[in-house]
Amino acid sequence: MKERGGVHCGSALRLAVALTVVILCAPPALAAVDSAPEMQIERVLADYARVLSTRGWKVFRDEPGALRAYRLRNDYEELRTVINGSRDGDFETYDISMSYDGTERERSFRIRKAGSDTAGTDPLRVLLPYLLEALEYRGPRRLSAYEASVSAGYNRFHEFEPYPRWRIGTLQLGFDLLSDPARHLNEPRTVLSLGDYFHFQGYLNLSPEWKDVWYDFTLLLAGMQTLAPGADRPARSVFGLFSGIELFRPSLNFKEFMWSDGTYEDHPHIQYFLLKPFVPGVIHQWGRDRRYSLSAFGTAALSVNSSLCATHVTEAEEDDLSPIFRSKFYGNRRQNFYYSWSIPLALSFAADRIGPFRLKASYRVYYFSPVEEERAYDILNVPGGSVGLYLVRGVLATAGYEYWHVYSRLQEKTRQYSWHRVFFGLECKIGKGAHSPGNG
Amino acid sequence: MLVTIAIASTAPLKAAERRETVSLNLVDSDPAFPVLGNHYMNGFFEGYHAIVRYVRTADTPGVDEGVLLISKRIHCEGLYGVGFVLYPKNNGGLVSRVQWAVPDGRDFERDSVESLRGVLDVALPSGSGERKKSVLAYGLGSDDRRITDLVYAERDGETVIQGYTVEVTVPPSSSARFWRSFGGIVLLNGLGEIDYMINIGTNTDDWKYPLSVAGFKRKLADGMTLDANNFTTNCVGHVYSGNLYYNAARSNGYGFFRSMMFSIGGSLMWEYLGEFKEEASLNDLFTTGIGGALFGEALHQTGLFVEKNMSPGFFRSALVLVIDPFRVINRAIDRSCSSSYKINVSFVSPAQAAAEGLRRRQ
Repeated sequence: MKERGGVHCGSALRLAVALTVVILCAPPALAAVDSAPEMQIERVLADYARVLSTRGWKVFRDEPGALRAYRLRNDYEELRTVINGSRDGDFETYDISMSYDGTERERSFRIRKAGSDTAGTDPLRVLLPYLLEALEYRGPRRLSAYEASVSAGYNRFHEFEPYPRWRIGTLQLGFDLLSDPARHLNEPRTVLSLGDYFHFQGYLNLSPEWKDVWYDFTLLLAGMQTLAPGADRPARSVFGLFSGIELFRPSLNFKEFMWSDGTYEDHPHIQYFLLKPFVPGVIHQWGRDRRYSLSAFGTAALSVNSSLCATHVTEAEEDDLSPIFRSKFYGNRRQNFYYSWSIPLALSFAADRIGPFRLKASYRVYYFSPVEEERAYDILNVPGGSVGLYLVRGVLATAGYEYWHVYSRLQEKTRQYSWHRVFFGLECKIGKGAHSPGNG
Repeated sequence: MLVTIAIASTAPLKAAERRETVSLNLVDSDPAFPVLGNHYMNGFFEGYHAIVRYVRTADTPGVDEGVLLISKRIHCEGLYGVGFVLYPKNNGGLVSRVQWAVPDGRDFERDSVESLRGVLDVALPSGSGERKKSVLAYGLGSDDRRITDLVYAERDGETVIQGYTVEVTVPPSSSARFWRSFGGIVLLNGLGEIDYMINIGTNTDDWKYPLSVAGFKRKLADGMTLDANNFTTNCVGHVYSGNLYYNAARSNGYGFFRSMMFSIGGSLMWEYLGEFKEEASLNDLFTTGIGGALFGEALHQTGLFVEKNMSPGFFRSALVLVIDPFRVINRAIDRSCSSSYKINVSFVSPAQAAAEGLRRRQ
């Protein structure tokens, strides 16, 4: 019993020692209510950060007494706040310095006996309104969230001739809108949220007998941006989950697209519509002024597409085909498409401001397979590239080439076609962000 | 003994965390306009963790007895209106005085409720007894509120805050936004129905069900199918109409995913009611609901880009009208029916409070 009692006393002693250590090492708030300026500053900045977060700012707080915040909502806003505190007898002095897109504000506050609402003047009540009022004084240093351009030129698809011909071809109108405000950030790691990045690009080809349209929209759902440690504009990577939609639709004017017509020598035989709910993707930019850019996107998608195995087919021949590859009869209209799931992959590389040039290369590949039971698939490969020459700031002369190749399979039957697409024209950067990416 | 010290050190913290029941005293200084009395009778104050009393003017309590909220009839922005003055509970330090006025306009009911809710939320603990933000941070957690007229004074070597104004822009209520979005979708489907009837000859091929309750039941029972309509109709037309559904909601302040719910809802309405006699199309639901939302977001963002990069004027409005018509329409409606008011917050020193008299009789 005595021994057991001795053990009991030893345990109590160890517990007491442990508690002593805990109490001595505990933060001031646990030991006693401390109103040191540092703690008051943390209170103020914590509340400020909450307001900013609610208003859509991304807040960074990795140094005591300092706060950095960015808002990327169709814009780029940058806010920096530093509060220094010191104690002077019964008073505490707080020096605030702020900058908001170039507007600098500084003010010193001398407050008696800081504490809480119940003990004199609360620094929170005095300082926080000043910080919030600063949000009404945005400075003139505005960095554009956008890079946008419009283009116009000549375009031609052909099976054998990869060059333009007089009076053959189409007028091409193009549009490109990129919203990427996060590129201005200089934080090593930033969580990106819905809409912080999107890219909408497309073109429309027009001629008296023909038109085709292509567009692709990519919207960031969630992601992460990381910067490699380095100089002023270090290499940047964006890893994200995107969502997107893509359409390529060629058609003859004044009449429905009849896939058994023999008029396609000068036109592509493929059309597709892709619904890409979730697209993992990565964008990497590096080099001086981040002039080099590489991106990769790949996913599984829902789609609608045509098949070469149902082109140049007469009505009489259709009876031997699987029902999904028969021309879809709808009233007196016939067409060719099937509902599919697909795997679209897209790789692209760009090098901007290489001397007066901009170089682009891309490779898109699409695998389509019918949702209905059928042993069939279609594969579309589109490698291509373009060269742009800066004529003046924001205006480029561009020339490009794409090779379209389709391989189709339906049961034992296979068919393949390829087309050359050449285009050239003028591209003009538009908007307040009318600049090359290298110029920020 | 050490254990005793440890308990003693933590005990005050536990006491501080205890929920405190606040007394909220309501006074209508003009009995002919009992705004607070009406809200009291409607149960407006029941959601707050407070003992609420509606008191007669003659019995107006002091600020030390709890939160005091007074209404009075005033002239406001050229109209009659109601002014509110709120004295949060005085804990011996500075006395806060929050006052604001709501014009007696068309949106008086909504504005008075919103402003009361906004100010009371910062003056009273919530139902859970917690207040995670400071009073000011709570009140300004929205782009619809901005702080102006901030006044400081240097007094006895000390920086003293005297007050500030919070300008509140009241956005359309959530129910107004919903019904406007829903109305836009009904309008679109109504126009679609007219077009359907005009081109009825090409649509009869797909008819399968009679226009009757039994037909509708059969349609529901049959579920959805993949249709063989024209590629352009399916992949261009439906995506474009889905974009309109989406932007009917997006331009009413809904975010991406909520607006997508409207485009999906609009598509279902069309498939089951607009094309009553046809089998509901699964591919149309996808292209209209999801594809329309994505394409709609692309056009919404393009419209924003145009607005940010062109000077205001006819051409900008015309261009945005083409890209995102609902944006232009709904913003015009917003302009005509939005309202705003100002909340003035002033801080009174203990000496000043004593001079004014802690018992504030009206």
